[in-house]
Amino acid sequence: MLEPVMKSLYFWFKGWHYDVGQALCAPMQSVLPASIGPHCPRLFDGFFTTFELVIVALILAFILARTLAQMLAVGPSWTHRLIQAYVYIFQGTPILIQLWLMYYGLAQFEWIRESIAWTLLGSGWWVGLIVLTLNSAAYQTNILIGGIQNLPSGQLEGAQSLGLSQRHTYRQILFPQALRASWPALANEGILLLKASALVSTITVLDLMGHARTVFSRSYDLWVYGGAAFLYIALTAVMTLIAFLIRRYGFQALPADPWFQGMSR
Amino acid sequence: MESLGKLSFGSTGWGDELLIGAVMTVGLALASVLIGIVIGGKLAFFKLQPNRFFRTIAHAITLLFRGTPEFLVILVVFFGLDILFNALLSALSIELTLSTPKFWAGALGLGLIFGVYASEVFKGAYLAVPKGVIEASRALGLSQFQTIRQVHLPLMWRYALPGLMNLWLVLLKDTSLVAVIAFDELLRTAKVAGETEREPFLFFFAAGALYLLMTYVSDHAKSRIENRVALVGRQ
Repeated sequence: MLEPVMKSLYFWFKGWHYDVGQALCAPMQSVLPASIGPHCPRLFDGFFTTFELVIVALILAFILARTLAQMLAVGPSWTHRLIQAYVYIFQGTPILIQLWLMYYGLAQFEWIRESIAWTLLGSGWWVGLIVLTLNSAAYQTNILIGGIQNLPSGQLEGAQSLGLSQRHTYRQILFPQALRASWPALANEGILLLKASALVSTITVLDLMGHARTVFSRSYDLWVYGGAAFLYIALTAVMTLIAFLIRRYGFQALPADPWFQGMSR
Repeated sequence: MESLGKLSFGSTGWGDELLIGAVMTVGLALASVLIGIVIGGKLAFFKLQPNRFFRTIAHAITLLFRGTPEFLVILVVFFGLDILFNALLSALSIELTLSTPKFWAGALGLGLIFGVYASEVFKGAYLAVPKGVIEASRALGLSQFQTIRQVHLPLMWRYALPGLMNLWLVLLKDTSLVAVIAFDELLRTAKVAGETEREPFLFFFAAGALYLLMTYVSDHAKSRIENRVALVGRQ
């Protein structure tokens, strides 16, 4: 039941990558060095895979981190220890070990291989997405809770004395302000996650790094890594631009913002 | 319980191999820090030059390394050294198959990454030293060279240490990438052990616990050192 859904989701994601890559590469063939010209569509295929993986993981992680930070800020105290342990474990171990533990480690158990969860855990792409999400959520929780703790304590006191519920205090008073203050740190975390995502190539995902490694293992020509590095830097630039645009147009303008003048609301 | 016996020490268990792997990880990280501080110092020196040409080059290098995955840098350094090595050997027509020393290839790659980030820390620390201190030491008759050596650099370290300790924590985790070029550090040992014993979960879990322990120790050392020497947050 679950499997065809997952498969079609996966192919919907992957289907167009190579075609667009070919279309983009065709006019560039005369400029590219002869050694990476034929592999250009493959690299673009990986480019889109990496981009999707990172963006989807970042969005899911953000939703998770928002809830976890809410628990830490206004939630019941028995959750605090649990969340702090989660954050500490995911921040304190290399992401490579998290990937390998989930992909190679869990495969050892018979009952997992026979359960329904195996539709996800048997595929490198989904394991990569899950681990990147969990890892980034730990970092984003830490960033958000840092932002909340740096708010003036009057914000919390004022909201509570106005009779707002815990949930409303967080969602409408604390979180929006903390998000504003910690946006640069969150954008930085996005770029760190982009770089960490190259590691999913070790669990058989053909992302940008995976394609580059496959091509290199056949040709032994370092130019391919140069091409991949160029595309990674381009992805960094794209993500920086997205972060800037969200910051510029996505947030409600406040009088303190430099672009507030002349904006009507 | 039976599987826990595989973590024991001695010839039957993998406990001692894992510990040796952990020592290798720490050794690799220390070697990378040494290389990285040299590279970072040089880069920061260029970034602080009045000459625009040098500054631009240093900033371009920083941008390049910040935008590419650490994994890619390590692979390029490793295979690049390998290709260079073999080309050199065949150019000198030496009939020898030498493989690149994985430890030093890994340390160079990790050191490059550490150095690029450290250069920003050094630059910030250099500029953070109050102007008045420098002026005072000049007024006391110290030469420019003496001022830099005996006043500026020692003070700078105290501003740089918190940033460097953060980079150390990142570096400790990044050493695991060298497992992919088959250097026998902690993660690679755990992988080999897991494949041999057919219990990858157990060994990856054990290795993860060891990494967590290293992070924990570094965290504590970090706060102690910061309390001792750092000027940040102290009046």
